[in-house]
Amino acid sequence: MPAPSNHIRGVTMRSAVKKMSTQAKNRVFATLFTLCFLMAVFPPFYLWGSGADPEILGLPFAVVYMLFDALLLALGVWALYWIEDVRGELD
Amino acid sequence: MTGDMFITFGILAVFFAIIVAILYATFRQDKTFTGYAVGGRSFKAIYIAMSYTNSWWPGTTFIAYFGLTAAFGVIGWYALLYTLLGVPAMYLMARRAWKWGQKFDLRTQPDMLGLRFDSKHVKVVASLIGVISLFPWIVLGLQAMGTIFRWASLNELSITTALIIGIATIAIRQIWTVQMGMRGLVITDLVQGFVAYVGAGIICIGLLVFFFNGASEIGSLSGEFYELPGYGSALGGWYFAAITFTGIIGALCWPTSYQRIYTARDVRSVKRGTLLTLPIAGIFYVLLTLVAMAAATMPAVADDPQNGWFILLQEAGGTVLLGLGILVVFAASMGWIDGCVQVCGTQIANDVVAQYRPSATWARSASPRSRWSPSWWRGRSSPG
Repeated sequence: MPAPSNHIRGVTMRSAVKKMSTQAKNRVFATLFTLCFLMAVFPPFYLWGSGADPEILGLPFAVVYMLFDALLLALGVWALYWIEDVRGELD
Repeated sequence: MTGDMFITFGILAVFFAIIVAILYATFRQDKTFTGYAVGGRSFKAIYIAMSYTNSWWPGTTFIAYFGLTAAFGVIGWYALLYTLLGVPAMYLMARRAWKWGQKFDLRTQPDMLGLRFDSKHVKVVASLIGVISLFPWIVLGLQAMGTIFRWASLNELSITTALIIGIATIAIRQIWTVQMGMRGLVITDLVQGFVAYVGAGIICIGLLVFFFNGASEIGSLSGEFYELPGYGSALGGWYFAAITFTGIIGALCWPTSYQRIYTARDVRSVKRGTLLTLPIAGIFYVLLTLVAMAAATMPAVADDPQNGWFILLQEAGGTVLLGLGILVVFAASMGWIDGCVQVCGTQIANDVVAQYRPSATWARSASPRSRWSPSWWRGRSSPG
């Protein structure tokens, strides 16, 4: 059986997003934003992320940790916008 | 004045003139106080994003925050986290905040709080807290202006003289801020923000690529630069959490940030505005902080981290690059202080004075007219 085309994958994804319950959507993003928040304010997390080693792409680990948290958060907000756009919930 | 000072002061003078020209070119007399306070709720997402950012990252970002990272390392990244964690809150409250704002003609956050709790006292107290909280930041902003002019004079001006000139420049700028209200402010924030944050980002990329030859310097500092204060340290393991959490809470109730919601044309513009704010505010600060870490390897910056941005640019590109570096700080400072002045004035008028003098017509009516408004000058130039 041939693999679905990108168009069909996209349509399938949009349908799944539309069918997702509001509770499920809220739970996913609440979990994501809480994780980002805890990475910034929960000492066991950020102290684990502290220090120079290991270096990743030439950057000290502590810097990568901060960048990762920031990127995860930004992508989360963008994903939320896209989902709300698909579901007609932007306004 | 030396030739180099013509470059540094000239860049600032041209930029200031461009901003004033934009203000006059886009001026529209506001018929209501709502038009004056929130620009008639008419702005698209890019204006919201740049205005939010210009009211968030002051010129002192290049001085105090740059200095913090250059002196102490990775702890300087806390500002990135609290900034970006505050932005989703604006996204999540966009719908209710904006719709309430439109339905009940709200202009400030204390306006909303007064409505929510049906209490003029809540409104007054919230407004005063907001204004008082801004005060230390305004002082930092004015100090940044002094630093700008000191460096523009290539250290020929004394600290006091530079500070006086900086304060005078901002005071003159407020003539147009007061006259033209939120509409002028948001439009100039777009230009100032582009110069400050996109311009600074380009400078930072250039420094990382051509001056520091990549990220290698960032990883060459001593170990303590990459360590956050832990348990048993002088500051304690919760220090980073405390300063980050305080910043996040501040983001939720920062007067200038919240008011931007009411300037948007619709809910969608607020949400899209927050999407754009994330990369503008985030990428700018990431690049600046990476440069600060790399610059910490320079002895001159290590000795004077708060002036590190200017020292670095002078070393890397002489007077021209220093002039551009001063310009981005000037653009950030000017936009930021304008935002503070505008919101303080609006909150005092709308939330405090109007509660006790509801008959004050200026609290409800159009922005004040004066000889400095374009309409006065047009009237003067017409024949007869």
